[in-house]
Amino acid sequence: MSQTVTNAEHNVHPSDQEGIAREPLVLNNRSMSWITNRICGIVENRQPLIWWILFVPSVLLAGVLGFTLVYLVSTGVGIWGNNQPVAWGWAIVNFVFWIGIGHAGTLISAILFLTRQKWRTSVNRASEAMTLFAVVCAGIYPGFHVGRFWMVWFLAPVPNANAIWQNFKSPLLWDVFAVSTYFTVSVIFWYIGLIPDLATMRDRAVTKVRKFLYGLFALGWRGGNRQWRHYEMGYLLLAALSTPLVLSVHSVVSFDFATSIVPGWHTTIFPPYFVAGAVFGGFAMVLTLMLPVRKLYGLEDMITPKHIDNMAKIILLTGTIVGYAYIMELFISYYGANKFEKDAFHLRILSGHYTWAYFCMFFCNVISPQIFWFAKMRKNLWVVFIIANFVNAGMWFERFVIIPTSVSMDFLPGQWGFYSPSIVEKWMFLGTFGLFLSLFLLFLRFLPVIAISEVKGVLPESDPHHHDWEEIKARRNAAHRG
Amino acid sequence: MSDTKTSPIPFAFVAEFENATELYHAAEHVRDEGFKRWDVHTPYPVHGMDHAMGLGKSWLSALVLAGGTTGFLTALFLQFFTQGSLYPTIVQGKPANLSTIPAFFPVLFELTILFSAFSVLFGLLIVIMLPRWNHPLFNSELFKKFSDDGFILVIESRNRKFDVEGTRAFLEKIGAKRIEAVEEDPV
Amino acid sequence: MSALKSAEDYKTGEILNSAKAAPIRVLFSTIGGGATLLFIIVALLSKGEFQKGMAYSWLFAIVYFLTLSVGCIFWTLLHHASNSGWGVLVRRLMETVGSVVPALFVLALPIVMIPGIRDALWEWFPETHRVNEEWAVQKEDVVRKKFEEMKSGIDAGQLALDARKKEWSAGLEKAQPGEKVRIEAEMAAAEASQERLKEADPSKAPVQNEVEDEAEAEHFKHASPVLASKRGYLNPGFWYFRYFMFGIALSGIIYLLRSWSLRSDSDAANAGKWFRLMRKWSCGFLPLFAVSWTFLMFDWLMALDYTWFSTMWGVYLFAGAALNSMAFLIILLVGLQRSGHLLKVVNAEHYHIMGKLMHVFVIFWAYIAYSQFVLIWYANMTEETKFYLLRNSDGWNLYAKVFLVAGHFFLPFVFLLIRAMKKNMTWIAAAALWNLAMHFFDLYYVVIPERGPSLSGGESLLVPYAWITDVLAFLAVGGIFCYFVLRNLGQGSLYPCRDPRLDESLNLTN
Repeated sequence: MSQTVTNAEHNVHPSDQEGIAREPLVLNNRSMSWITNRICGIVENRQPLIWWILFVPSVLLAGVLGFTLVYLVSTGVGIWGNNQPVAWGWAIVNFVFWIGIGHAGTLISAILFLTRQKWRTSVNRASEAMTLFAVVCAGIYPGFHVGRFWMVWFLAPVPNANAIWQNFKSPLLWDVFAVSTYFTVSVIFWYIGLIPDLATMRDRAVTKVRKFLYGLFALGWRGGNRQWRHYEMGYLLLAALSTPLVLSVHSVVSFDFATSIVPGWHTTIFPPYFVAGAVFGGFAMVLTLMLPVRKLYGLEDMITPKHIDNMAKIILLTGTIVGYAYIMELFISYYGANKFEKDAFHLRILSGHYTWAYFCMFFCNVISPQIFWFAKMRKNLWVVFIIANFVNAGMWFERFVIIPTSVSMDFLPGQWGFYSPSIVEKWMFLGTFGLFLSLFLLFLRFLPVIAISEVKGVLPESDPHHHDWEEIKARRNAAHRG
Repeated sequence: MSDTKTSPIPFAFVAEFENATELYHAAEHVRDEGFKRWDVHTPYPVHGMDHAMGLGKSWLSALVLAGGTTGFLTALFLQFFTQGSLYPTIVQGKPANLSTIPAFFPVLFELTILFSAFSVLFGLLIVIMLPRWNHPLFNSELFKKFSDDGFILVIESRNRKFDVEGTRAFLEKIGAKRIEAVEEDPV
Repeated sequence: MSALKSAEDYKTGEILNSAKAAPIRVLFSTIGGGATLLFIIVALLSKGEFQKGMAYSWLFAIVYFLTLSVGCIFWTLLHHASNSGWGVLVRRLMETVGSVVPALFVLALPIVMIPGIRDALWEWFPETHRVNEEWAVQKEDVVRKKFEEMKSGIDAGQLALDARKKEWSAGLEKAQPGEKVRIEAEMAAAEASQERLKEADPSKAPVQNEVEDEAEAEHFKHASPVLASKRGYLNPGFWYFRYFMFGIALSGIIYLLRSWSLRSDSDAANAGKWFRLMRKWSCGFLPLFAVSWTFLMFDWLMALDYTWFSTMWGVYLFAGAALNSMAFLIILLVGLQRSGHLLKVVNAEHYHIMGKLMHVFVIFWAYIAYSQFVLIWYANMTEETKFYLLRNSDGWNLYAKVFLVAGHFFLPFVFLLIRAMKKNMTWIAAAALWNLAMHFFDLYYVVIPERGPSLSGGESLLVPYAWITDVLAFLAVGGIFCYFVLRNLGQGSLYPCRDPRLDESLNLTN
């Protein structure tokens, strides 16, 4: 309880002491033009060798995805490992996995915007991009999982040949609406955020093609306050719309499971638990991507240890919430006195085929992030990177634990069956990583990875009342010493 | 500075200021002077500038409310009409009437958000009058700095209070670092 | 634009004007004390269902004010843990409202401790009692029978073993070497199993206890199958233990945070130290807080019908608590400002943020309530649906539509969308009052529908005139609660005047 207060600390007013004073979000007093140059430079200069080393295999992997999809459509879903009773195998596991990853982007953009967390500015652009690419990857799975891909338009609210409409009472249809709305709104959000930065790119462009293309998409942005004020309102509104939207998307995904009566799926805490898990996994993916990007492109002054520290804290928080949900599930499976529910969890954690997956999940998602209670660990980039990857894996396992284990052994033992993915499914999953990475690398190549205008806005001197704050600081220090 | 001799009345004066604080105070002066067609162009939205320029709250939110309501009603109609009267399918042990509304909530919600988001996008573009790829201000080299680190104030000549000498002197008085006159496109 | 405010000008703090507060305190203590007295008198004079039903009234009132208090603990924890700056000026109010928790736990003692009252609320108590009584009657017979069975089992086993031994020894003489090994192994196994039987000799004391326990568990399972499977959690000893632990945990958290906060007011030199201490512990307290609150609500409310369960339950009650404690804080703040306090420091920007937080939790509550309802309604499983089935019977259906769907969500949701309403002291106070009223109906809907069916054995939905004691209990606990809030408010400055983040809160802009 007692902390030694050093003499040096006594000379500083408490408001300016370490750990209390607000840390700068851009280090080394970088100027605005430095920020512009550094971020635009990534796009304008040649890409480093490592970009190509990553890009080529990613594209090849994405090609594998294309190949497996063609193979799938031309042959039929029988080439997957799905069976009875496990009709929802990796396809749905991977769908939920990618959709979950897609949640951090909107969280950073919207929720942190609404709660005035200024540190979001350095990472929001990349995570929004990541969101879009993750949703693209996610969308592939249910699209092809319907079996007859050429009939996928049945998902849209259009009556079929017998004039029967879609069943709006079905969670699967809610899913179609939720995911497509989410993708559309995320694109709008992302694009509106990009407009001022595209204008910056336009004004710096040296080649005609660039000037034309960036100019085209910048829509002639002039950065006048008469534009900014509406722009800010629009951005705020989109943030306010996206926040409940992001909650709804994963809640609806959880409804796919929880509205059923399958033991292990039907539990009321699923919606918030899925949302927390999605944010958790999404942040881990943001860290996985941004730690190397930061190093590679020299963005350490804008993505500072403070940013990483905050993201690690969010991982700790959401990981613990997920842990709370796991414990609630276990407790209620005991307390609920429902035989099937009890057995489902018994098989899940003690004696089933997939017990190992449960423990992988529990370790990765609940235990491993607890290391972030220690500030030192949050500052150690290697630790953060490793834990982030644990979480990536853990969140995949979570979906795996929920989906196949619950249906593989449900009510009738005579109907029990074991599920293991086929080689096509495995390559398909790897392929989506290829697609995801290729898209992300292209994004790095062509668009500003950090929101330039927003980072400029959080510099201390950007505040027109900056000098008044300096005065207050001077005054309190004078009073403190005097 | 561009040449002002060819046409005595330029499209506008573009003035650069040192930093956000200077620009903020300059905006207060311009506001008090009574100019109507003027603006400040900054790399990021300056906090409190609406107040300094004497602008009210953006009314975009009203538009979005209308969009959201449309979305809500669309979803309501789509679901009740198709499920309740056009071709009722009695499945999942749920009736095909108003009592099933909890099952219709997710789509109601999603479409409300979707329509609202579209009205943000299109409403915003209409309100800020974009896209407009060509604008006289793009003729100015000084103006281009707004997207990097320039704090730019533009007073258009279409102001009743505008006069070439007086306005330039005024801009100098309120602390402009550099002033440039911008011509409209010759065509 | 005017210059910013400096915390240097506000570091002396501001104390509650006792001349103004005293009459209100007297008023609240009169209401609280009077209503409590009346409640006790009615309880003593009445009888039957009505009298038992008063236990529900008291529980409802306690839970209502506990949510306000516990919600304030959450806001205090969140303020520190999120390293926030805006709320410094209202943090002392959060701490003060939170600090009433111990009083509420004391007020809950009668319903928790007095068997007659307790049993009216939580049916698993009388159920456990009934099964135990039955067992006491049957115990001797059942156990004796078991012993006899076991003893005869041992004897019969010995006889069989002896007979087979003879066979084996005869066989052994003729056996091939390989067969010999097999027979010897069989013999050893048979002897060992007989040994095991003998070890479980019921004339030995430990074995007797084991057998008794087994028989008791079997009896319980037979007599009350559902309760039997959750007996490890729902048993009187553990239940009391939890009541005390949760009381200590919740009270302890806010006691520590509040006393550190109060001490930092007068300890300018170490303001930084106190600040860091509170932040550090707030993070650590959060999981403890979550677990205590969740299981307390399981114990008090979910267990009102011990056969029902929902994993979302803790979150649902948390959502209501966070929402309405913010509403209460707004009311308190408006009250203080109307009576001339905090006028120089708190302004429309603070109300705006508090209004936004209230708005967020209006939505969050609706989200949680809807999710819980829709999942149970959609899956339609008997043991879960009963909760909503009861609450959709007769008048409760309309009640839920009016007060919960429209009143608790739609109206405040739309109203709070308007920015001007959140910045205006009067309107935001009106919205806060509205929310508190709806919270009344929300918790009423959670607690009270259980009363009629529980007490009448499923004969009637409502206990006639019981609403009178509901209101009476609400006034009693509410009066005492408000009295303690005002009393504790006078124990220090109305805002933490030495907080290092005071500058930020003073110059808040949205």
